[in-house]
Amino acid sequence: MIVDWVLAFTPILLILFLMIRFQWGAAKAGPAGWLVAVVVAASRFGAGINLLALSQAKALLLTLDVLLIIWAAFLLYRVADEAGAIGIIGDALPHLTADRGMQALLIGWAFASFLQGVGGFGVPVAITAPLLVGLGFSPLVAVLIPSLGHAWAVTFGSLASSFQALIAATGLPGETLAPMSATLLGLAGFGCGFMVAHAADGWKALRRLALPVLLLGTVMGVAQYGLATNGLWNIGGFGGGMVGLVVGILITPWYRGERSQNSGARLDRRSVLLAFSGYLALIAITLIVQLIPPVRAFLGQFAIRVSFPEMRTSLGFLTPAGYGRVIPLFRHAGAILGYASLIAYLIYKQTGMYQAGAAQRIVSGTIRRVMSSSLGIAAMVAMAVVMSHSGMTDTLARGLAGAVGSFFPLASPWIGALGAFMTGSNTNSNVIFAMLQKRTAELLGYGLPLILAAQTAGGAIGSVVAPTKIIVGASTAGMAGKEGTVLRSLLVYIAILIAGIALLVFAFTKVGLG
Amino acid sequence: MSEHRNSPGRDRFRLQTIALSLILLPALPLYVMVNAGFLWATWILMGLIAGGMVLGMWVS
Repeated sequence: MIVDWVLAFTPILLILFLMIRFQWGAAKAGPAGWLVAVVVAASRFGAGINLLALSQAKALLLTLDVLLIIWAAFLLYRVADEAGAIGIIGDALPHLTADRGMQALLIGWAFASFLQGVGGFGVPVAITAPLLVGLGFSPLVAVLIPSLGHAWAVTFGSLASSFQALIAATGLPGETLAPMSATLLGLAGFGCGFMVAHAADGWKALRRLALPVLLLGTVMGVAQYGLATNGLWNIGGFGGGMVGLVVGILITPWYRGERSQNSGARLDRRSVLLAFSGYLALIAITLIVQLIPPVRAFLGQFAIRVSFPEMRTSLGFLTPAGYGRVIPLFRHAGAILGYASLIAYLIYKQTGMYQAGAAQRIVSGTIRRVMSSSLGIAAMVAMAVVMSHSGMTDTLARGLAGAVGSFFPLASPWIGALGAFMTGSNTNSNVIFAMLQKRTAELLGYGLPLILAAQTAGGAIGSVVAPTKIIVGASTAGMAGKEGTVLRSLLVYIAILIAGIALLVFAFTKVGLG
Repeated sequence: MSEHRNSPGRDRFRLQTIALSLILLPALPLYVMVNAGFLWATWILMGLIAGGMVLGMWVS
C-alpha cells in the first residue's frame, strides 16, 4: 500500500523536484511528469493502452477549456497594452493622492487586482512595481505591495482561468464552486489590504488606513462574490478590481496627503476613459451573453460534446461512462474575451491609439507569450487525467485521508499553496491537486466546495511567492539578483495569510459550512 | 522584429509549437481509433503524443 502511494505520488514529486532543484519551467517539467505518470499507471496500476488513449482524448477537452481562456485573456491584454491603455491608467493614478499609504492601496491593491483580473501572468507586479518606485517607494517595498495586493484576485483573475481549471479538473459546476471560493478569497482580500498598508507605511498605517482597507476590501470582495456567484466568474476578479479602483478614486479626497509632486499636473479624463473602453466592452459583452437568455441560448447551441465509454483498469478501478468536458464554442469565456478583444481593438484603432503594424505585434506577441505556458498546461492536464483514470489519485487521496484525518481542512490550503509555489501558478496547482483534494474530502466526508475553495485560495496566495513571479517582480523594480530578499520578506506575509485561510476553513467545518 | 527571424528564440518557439501540436492533435484520432478497435493506430498515436512530450521537454 505504501509502495503504491509513493509510486502514485512520483509524477507530482518529480515535477516539484525538477522545478525547485533544477529550476525547470512548467513546460519542461510537465512532460516529464506525464511520462512518469503513464509508466506508473501502466506498470503498477493496470492502465491499458485504451484507457491511456481515452484519457488523452479527455485531457484534450480539458486543456482546450483552459487554454482558450488563457490565449484570449492575453490577447485582450495585448490589445490594450499595445494601445498604451495600461500605461495611461497607471500614470493617472498617482495624480490622485500624495498619501503614501493611499497610493499603495490604490495602485498596489485595487489597480494590481484589476490588472490581475484582465491579465495576470505576472503583469500586476511588472506594471505597478516601477510606478511605485517612481513614487519614492524602495524597490523591495515596491515589489512587496503589488505582490500582496493582487494575491486575493488570482483565482478569478486572468479572466478566471484558474477557476476554470478548478472546474475542469474536478468536473463540478462553477455554480457549486463559486460561492465558497469567492467567500474565502474575499476574506483573504482584507488580509491583503492590511498587508499592503503595513508594507507601505508600517504598523501605524494599519490603524490610519483601516477604514479605506475595510471599505475597499468590502466592495471588491462583494463585487467579486456577486459576479462569481451569478455565472460571471470570468469577470469576477476584473470586476472586483474595477469597483475597487472606482471607490478608491472616490475616497482619495479624504486621503490626499501633502501635495509635493504631481500637484500641478492635470488628469486627462478623456484619455483615461478611452483607455478603460476596451474593458468596458468586455463587461458589456459578458453581461449580454450571460444575462440575455435568447443570446445565451443561441450561442450555446454550438458545443463540442464528446461521450466517453466506461473505463476500467486491470486492477478494477472504474471510471463511469459519461461526457467529457463540454465546450460551448461561441459562449465560452474564451470566445467572449475574443469578441471583447475585437471590439477593443476597433475602438483603440478608431481613436488613433495604434501605430503602424500594431495588429501584427499584438498577434505575434500573444502567441509567443502563451506558447510555453500552453505546453506546460497541456502536459500537466494530461498527467492529472491519467492519474485520475488509473486510480493513482484515488490511492493518493486514501493515503492522505488516513494520515491527516480530521486535520485535513487545515492542510488543504497549504497543499494548494505548495502546488502554486512549485508550479508557478494557481491554474497549474488546481490542475494537479484539485482532484486529489476532492477525492480526499469525499473520503473524509467534508464538503467539496469548501475544500476546493481552500485549494484554490491557497493556490492563489501561494502563487505570489512562486519563483517565476518573484523574478519578474524583482527585475521590473530594479532588484534583479536580489530575489532571495524579496522571497524572504514575502514569505512572512504569505504564511500568515495562508494560516488565516486554513483556520477559517477549519472553523467553517466546525460550524457546519463544509 | 528582424532579430527574431533567425534567433534561437524563434527556433525554440517553432519547436514548442510542434511539441504542443503533437501533444494535442493526435488526441482527436485517438478517440476514433480506440472506439474502432484499431490497436496499432492507437499505439502509433500514443507514440506521437509521447514524442511531443519529449520534444517539449527538450526544447523548453
